[in-house]
Amino acid sequence: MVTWLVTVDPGRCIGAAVCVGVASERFRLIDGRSGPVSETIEADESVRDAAEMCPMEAILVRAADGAPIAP
Amino acid sequence: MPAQPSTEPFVFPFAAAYELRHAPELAALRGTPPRPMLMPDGSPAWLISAYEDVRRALVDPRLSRKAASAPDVAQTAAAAGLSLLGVDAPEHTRLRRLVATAFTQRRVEELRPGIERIVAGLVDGLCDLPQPVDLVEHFCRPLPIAVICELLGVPLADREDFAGWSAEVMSSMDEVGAAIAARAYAGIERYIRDLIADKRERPDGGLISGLIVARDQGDRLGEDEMVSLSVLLLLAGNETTGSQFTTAFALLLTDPGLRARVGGADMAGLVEEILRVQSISAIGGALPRVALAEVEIGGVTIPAGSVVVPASALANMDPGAYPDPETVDPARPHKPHLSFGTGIHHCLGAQLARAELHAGITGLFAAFPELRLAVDAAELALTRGSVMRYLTALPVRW
Repeated sequence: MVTWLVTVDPGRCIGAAVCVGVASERFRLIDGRSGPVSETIEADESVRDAAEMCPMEAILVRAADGAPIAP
Repeated sequence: MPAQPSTEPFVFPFAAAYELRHAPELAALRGTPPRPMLMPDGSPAWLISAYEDVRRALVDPRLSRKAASAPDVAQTAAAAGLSLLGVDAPEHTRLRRLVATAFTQRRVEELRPGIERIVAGLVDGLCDLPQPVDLVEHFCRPLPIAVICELLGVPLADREDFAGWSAEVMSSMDEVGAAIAARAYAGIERYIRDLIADKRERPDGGLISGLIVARDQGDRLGEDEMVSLSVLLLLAGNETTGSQFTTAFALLLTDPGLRARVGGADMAGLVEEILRVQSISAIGGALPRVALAEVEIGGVTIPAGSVVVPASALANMDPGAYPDPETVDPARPHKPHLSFGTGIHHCLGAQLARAELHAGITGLFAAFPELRLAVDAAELALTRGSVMRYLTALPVRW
């Protein structure tokens, strides 16, 4: 099982919620800004898609050892 | 007990959208539970108007744009079924990922000096004209066209070829309009096919050449997908922001209090508020969806197969989300308005549009501090019959 780490930079996020549309199980909007439902997840291509489609590049996906996966 | 919808579909007051300020018949629909309505062609649909309900509807994958783009569903624009606008995931994800990086905040920051140069050029051009000058013809429209042409690699000199078609594609509120729009769409598609053929011979650094590489070397999209995506970028890149400029200036030129805040510390907030209260959509907001399954929204059950209208323009004026919604207040607490939509179809060009509005509004008022309407404010009228809200003319002096 491959583990990824997911974070959203609240200083960059504008609440466009592209991520919530792409990966509704993985992101949620609180007070108009997105955050991961869980920061540690099993590898999930929809989360990679969300990070690469974020207009603010606010989503960071890393491998368990910290190596960047997306964007 | 959830609110029960009235069973009689009501006629949505589409014509009310053509007022510059929110009409009373639209105000009555703010923050209400989902209810049956009629589309411009008389076909049934469900109106979603409360802020949280619209937000939820726009991220719900069971509410399909692809199904709404089928020919048997009420069409409100020839462009409505176009490319990204007419597909769902995973098709949508594949196509959007090809262009998403070209419109990130980081890329837009790189484009900003170019946008400011275009603004300065247009300001210079205005100085040479006899007054009164039509701001729509000489500023609102040419600014976004110049920006998107540069980004896509479309020759600005071809503007005469596509600008007329581009406006006509949006004019499809009735059958006559739909026929005009279909013909215009065919024209612009032909233009783009020729342009792509030309760019295959002579590639440049523009986004269309980038798509050709993705197609010819990576097989990441089909030929027709590439054409319709390019048409969408050209249309959406100029009609939307150009229309937004016209209502933005109409608002600012008729409200001295707001105008005094242009160029101030809360300029970004002012742009957001203009976007919130002056939706460019004359059809209530976001494009219609079709429910692929039974969906519950705001305590109301919407049957499978229903056409759903997420009225983001009404959601933006929901007093539950924005207290005193008519007031343009650049210092409002963070609450993302839905003028760009939300979820997978959130406007690809949102950051670019923000940068253009910021640079255009700031630049024009800085250059002409005495800028004022050359007609009575009561004479300002939005153009009727288009799916977009805009003014055809805005005569000014300085």
